[in-house]
Amino acid sequence: MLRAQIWTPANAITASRIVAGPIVIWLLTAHSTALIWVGLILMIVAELTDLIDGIVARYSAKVSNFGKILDPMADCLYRSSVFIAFVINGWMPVWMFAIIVWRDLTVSYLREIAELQSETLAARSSGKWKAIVQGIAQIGVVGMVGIFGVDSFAPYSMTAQGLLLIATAVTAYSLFDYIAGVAQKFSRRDVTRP
Amino acid sequence: MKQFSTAPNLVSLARALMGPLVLILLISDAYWALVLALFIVALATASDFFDGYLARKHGKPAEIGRYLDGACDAIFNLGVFLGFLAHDWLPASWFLLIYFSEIVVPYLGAFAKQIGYPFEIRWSAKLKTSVHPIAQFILLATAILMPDAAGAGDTMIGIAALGAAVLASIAYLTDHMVLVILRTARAV
Repeated sequence: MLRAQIWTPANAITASRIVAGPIVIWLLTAHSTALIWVGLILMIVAELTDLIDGIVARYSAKVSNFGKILDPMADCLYRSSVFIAFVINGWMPVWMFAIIVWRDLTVSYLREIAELQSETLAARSSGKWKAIVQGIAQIGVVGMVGIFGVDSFAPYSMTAQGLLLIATAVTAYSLFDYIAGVAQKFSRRDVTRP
Repeated sequence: MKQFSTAPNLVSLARALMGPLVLILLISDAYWALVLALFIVALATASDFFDGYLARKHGKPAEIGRYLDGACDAIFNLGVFLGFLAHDWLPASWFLLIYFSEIVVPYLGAFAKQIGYPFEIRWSAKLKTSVHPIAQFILLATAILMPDAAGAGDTMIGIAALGAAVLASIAYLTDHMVLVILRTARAV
């Protein structure tokens, strides 16, 4: 039963996103416009796996609790890998990265705290919006670097910083939304079990 | 919600809020800010002992407090290490190792709980909790005492302190991964 929950095609697709993270870091920090384009293609594939794994899980009727944990974890690891490459290249200020790091960390602990209630913390819509906006911002910025070239790209241009700022703002909103969601679960428990 | 608003949990939450404060101080790059950051690291370390003491004083520590304590520790520590990253004292790859261990272990914990074998407090968690504040303290003290050095992360003592912090994080991650693999094998 448990083995069948872990070894599913959907989980294999999800896990591939974790492997993509370090490869993307290397491609984006190699200071080569050609490798930036390769990185961009890999990033688009990684974003597609985020869509495909859910479809595969539902289509094969193998939506597992393990998958519900693996999917957000793979998302965190992959996206923070891309953002750390942005920080290394000086495309993103540390304070924006900090908000993303704290959001992911807090949600990972909230998931563990929700398990205390014997409830799996499912993805909330704010988490999905965060993933979409972060994906667009990452692909948008790397696409701009590819078009202008590594040496001519201006990381502090309005467009690049605007995209990253919107992604950071949606991430911060998602953090508060998850905290409110878990608080609601515990408040319900206070009412039902005084 | 009553479970959250106990004295030890409020102390833990205060520690979490010190993380962003230390990051702001470190980014500001002023000498007095480094001194204040060092003071806050010391205060946060003391609060880690104090919340445990308060929890024991009020009877059996609640399970939720254990998780909250771990979360607040991680939020604070990452705030400090992000500050070191901003100063280029900590290589990005080292930061990623610390961050990945902090992110992955709670997910492993949620999975371990699902299969009916929740984590107990492990030696590796205690090791990490002891080594991280010492490393932070050493690095900040080096930066304060040697303001003319190229960077606290470039001094021998700085590299040793940060290396120890990263190794403690790797041990923390590896220990919990091995534990999950063994317990999953048992559950299967």
